Amino acid sequence: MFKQFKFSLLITFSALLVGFTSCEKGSDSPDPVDETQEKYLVWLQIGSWPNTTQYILGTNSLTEGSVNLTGHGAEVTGRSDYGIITKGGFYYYHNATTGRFSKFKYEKELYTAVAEVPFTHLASVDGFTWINDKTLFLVGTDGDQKKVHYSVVDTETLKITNGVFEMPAIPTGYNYVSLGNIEYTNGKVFMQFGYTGDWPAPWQNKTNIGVIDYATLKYEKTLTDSRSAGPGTNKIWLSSSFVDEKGDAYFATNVEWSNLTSTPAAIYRIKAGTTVLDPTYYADKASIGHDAVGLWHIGNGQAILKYIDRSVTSTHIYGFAVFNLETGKITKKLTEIPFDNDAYMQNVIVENGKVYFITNAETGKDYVYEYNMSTGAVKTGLELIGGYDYILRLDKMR
Amino acid sequence: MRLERYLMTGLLAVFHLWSAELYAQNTATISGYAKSGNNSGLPGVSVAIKGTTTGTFTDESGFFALKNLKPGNYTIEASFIGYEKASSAVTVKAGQNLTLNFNLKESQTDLSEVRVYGKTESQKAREQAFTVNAIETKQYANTTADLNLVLNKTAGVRVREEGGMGSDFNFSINGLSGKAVKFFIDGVPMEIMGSTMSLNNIPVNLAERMEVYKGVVPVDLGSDALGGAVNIITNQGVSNYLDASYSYGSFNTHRTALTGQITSKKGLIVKGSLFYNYSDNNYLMKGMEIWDETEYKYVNRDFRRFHDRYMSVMGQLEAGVVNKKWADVLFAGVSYSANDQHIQTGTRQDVVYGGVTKNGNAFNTTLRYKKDDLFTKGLNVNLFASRSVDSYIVTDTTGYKYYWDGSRVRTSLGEINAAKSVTNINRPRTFSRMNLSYGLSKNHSINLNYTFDHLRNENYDELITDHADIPGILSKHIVGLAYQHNLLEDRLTYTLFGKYYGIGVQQSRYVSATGEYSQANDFQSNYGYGVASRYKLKGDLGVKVSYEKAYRLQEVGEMFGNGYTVVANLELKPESSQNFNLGAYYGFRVNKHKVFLEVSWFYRQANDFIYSVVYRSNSSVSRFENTSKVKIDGLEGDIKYTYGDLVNFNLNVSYQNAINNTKYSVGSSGNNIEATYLNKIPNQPWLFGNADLMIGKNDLIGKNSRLQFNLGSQYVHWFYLTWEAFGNKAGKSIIPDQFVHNASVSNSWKNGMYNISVECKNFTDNLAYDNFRLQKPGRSYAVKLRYFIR
Repeated sequence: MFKQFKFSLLITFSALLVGFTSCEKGSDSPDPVDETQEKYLVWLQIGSWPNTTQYILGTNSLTEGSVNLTGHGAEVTGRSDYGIITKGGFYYYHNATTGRFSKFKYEKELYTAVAEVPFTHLASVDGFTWINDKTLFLVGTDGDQKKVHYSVVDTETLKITNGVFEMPAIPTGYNYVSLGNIEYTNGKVFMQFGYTGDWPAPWQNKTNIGVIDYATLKYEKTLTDSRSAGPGTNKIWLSSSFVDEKGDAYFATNVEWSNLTSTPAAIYRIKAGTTVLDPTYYADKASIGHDAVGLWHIGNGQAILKYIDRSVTSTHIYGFAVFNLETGKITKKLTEIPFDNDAYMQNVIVENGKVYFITNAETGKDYVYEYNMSTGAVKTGLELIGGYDYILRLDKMR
Repeated sequence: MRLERYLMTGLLAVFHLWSAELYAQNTATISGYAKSGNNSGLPGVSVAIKGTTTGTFTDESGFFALKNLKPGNYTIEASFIGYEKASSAVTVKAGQNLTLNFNLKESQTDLSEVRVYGKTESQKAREQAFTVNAIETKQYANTTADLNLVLNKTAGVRVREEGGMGSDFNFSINGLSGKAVKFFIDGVPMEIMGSTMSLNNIPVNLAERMEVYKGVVPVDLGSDALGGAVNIITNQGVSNYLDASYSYGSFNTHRTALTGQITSKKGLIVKGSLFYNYSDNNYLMKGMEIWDETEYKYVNRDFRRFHDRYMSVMGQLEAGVVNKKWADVLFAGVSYSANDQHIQTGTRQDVVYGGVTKNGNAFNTTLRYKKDDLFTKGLNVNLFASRSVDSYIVTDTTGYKYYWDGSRVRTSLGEINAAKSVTNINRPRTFSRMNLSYGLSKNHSINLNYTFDHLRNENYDELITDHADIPGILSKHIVGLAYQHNLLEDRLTYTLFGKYYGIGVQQSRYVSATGEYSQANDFQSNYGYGVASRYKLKGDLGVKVSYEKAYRLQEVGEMFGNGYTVVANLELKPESSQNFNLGAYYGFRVNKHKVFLEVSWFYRQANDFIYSVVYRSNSSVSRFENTSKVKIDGLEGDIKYTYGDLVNFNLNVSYQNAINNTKYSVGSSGNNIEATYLNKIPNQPWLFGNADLMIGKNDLIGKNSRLQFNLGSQYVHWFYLTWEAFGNKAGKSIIPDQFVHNASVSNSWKNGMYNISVECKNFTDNLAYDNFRLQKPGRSYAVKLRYFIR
């Protein structure tokens, strides 16, 4: 506690120092940055309402050293937010209020739009999947949330082709369609969705996965299951679906805000080359022990599961575990990693047999944590100096 | 436009009636000018009836009027520092308006011996123990200023506007803003007049003066003013007058104001006020981004605002009697106000609205009564009651996204929020106020103030329902008790006060965090207290110290939510603050040079600011929480200089340092100190100043005329949009320096009866932003005609 206090004083003083020096010079001179682009980016949020601000900080190492937002990094607020898509060193963002689709780059501590086009076809990006390295497939609803729209984006030119899916009507008793996980594999797009009413009316007690033929962009059929409900999550915030190296697609549901108190979160599978839910595969709270909120594929038949521990009384209720996809069971709870304070964070990246985590520790310092898949060891890496309210994303840029 | 024509016709009709009526009176008036040897009018000359304490001061043109005199013989004396005393014996008859002019000779003798018969109201206000800006609006009467514009020129006050006439604004006093600042008209909350009445549309001619209380607020303004209060004082005199004005300016802007008073032969007094404002607000937005399909990129072009029309109208009529045995003042009144507004942007210039409208109206009835020496000598009572209904509708249903060139694309979404809406707000309100003051002796007095405010808040979306199924009911009982003691022959005065805040909130059902509906009501009590003191060291040199523990009470919506997107938080506490002021003032006079200096230091420690917070990240619901704490201190200085009636110069500078005092964030277990703890609050102006110069000369264009030139400049130092310490400076967003200059020339004839003025605002056409990249109007012109008679 005392250490933290001293620490915070240090930050405050250095912050003041930065302020003074900049005033004295009368102009703002950034510290020289030699690398054109850092390998990894961490997104952070500071400040209480209404002065919350989000920032990006770059680093070339996740295993050692420290980063500090004081005088470094770029502010994101006003340009985009952390619900964003990344690939190949760029970020892609739909700003629904300004009606633009933008391609951003973080370089030399500046976050700038390298290209922008008008985009109003989707009310918001409710899900995305990559068809190839240059083709981004987006889904969302119309403004009334009754129809499902899609857009195909060429990420080099930002030329966009738009369309509307011909889907079954919204069932009686529900007003809106709500989208979530979406994956592309073997020429098919699988799009998870649910039907909702006005809050706090509960969702439809079912999960649906629409099957779309990518070549014709024709909506073919809906796969349904009533053991769990809802659309899963939007990957711009949090991953809860993926396609593994075999081409099998996994979809998790997330019932945290469904108002279906007895319905568990579950994980489904669609085997490579098929367009049906794998009848032999189903995992939920009963086998996992917890409700899942996030799921990241890490290779070798394993995934990282972000789960809710309802026995915790603070707001830091989201834990991490290694999950065996085949058995549908947790193989190891990563208790060395502090519980996070929010579900919707992009917590995990995988590199060279190691998994790197960000999490917002309730006590003590904040670190990037490293999990070694072969040894099972967890250790602390890069230190995030500050006392941040939310640690939002960890992205690999190159 | 048709409405405008009706209004003008009505206005002219009233105007004629009034002018005719004004001369038919039964008390006598002695009026005239006090002039110096070179025949220029002398302001500030005391003119008094010898052997009495009845007296007045000349205004800036040298004019004085002693009104409501009984017929008889009087000796009138005029005295002014640096001049020899002059006197004249006169006889007045009933109904007579006697003209009496004085020519004062400059004196070579000692200047220290001056009798003071009275002080201007703003001088009196300045000598109060409270820290207050007292502003005489007279000097702005020939300009097109609204009250915000005048207040924004004073120390410690910063008004941040979103656009042109009628746009939303944020008013701050010493760094505290929003709901922390309360507005009053003649001691009664302005809110009861309805949401149309706002500082940005009330013309300056409707106010006689204004007082800005900083941090420490007297009990008779009974309210939960956390950061301070503005009290607008209208003409409370008993003499008849008429002030009518009309101005036309850039962006098709019309402003009409009418205020006056007539007394019937039987003693019935009728007071009336009216204003009408209209503007297209179609000022140029420079360098707006717009998509160019052929170049396939966003380009910067200039566009006129196209959806920002604004109209507001207010009429108020009061009738009553004064100086009766049973009442010093008894008035009953009615008022109506309405506005009709197109909305072009919110706080961001890159989000353009093309279909959002806001319109509303309000009715208000009032009754006020005042009696001094009721039952016993020294017991004064002042009562006020009102009933009002305020309603407005915000319509957001177009389903299009608009761009600065006026083009649009269909989105089926609302423009403000994602969902289309027709938000109806109805607020029936009952307000009453009782003020009792009692002079225990010459040097001791007590003041007891009680206000009761009952508000029903009906809020619903017409697209979903046709009525509010969960109206919120708020009742506030605020009791203030003050004791004032004057010692050392009035050199030291202090006021001790305590305030009780009782708040009752009621909602027929609310939604808890788990989505369940319940019934709810709650009553909370809070206690505030404070002290204000002033010590006169010598003459016009004094120091002031004041302190208050102040509150801003919760609103029903903040506690119980709205039933669908905002959930309840029954643990919500009121916002509170410890406010401290320390200041000194000094005034002196050498011949015709008059200087007044004032400097003050302030400290605020405000806790439990209430903001809507997304209940859990990315969820569809939010709730209000006590999120943050702020510590503010600052300095402000004010210099006023006048040279006779020729030059009037005013300069003020304000510095404020607002620091985030939130150590742990909401929901945190109290282990990790927030990164922003003790950092400077972002997006806040912290250094700003104003300078105003007025030069005037009498009798240049005709006898009894005055030509006046005004030059005003305002500077706001640049500031960061986000936290200063974090992120690379090169990429940080800032709100740049604002440096805006205004100029006007006016001429008055017949001692101020006919006035014409021409003005140019922002004559250097500088870009000005109060909010990030949100442009305010550039250069604009206006002409104003004004008729004033008393």
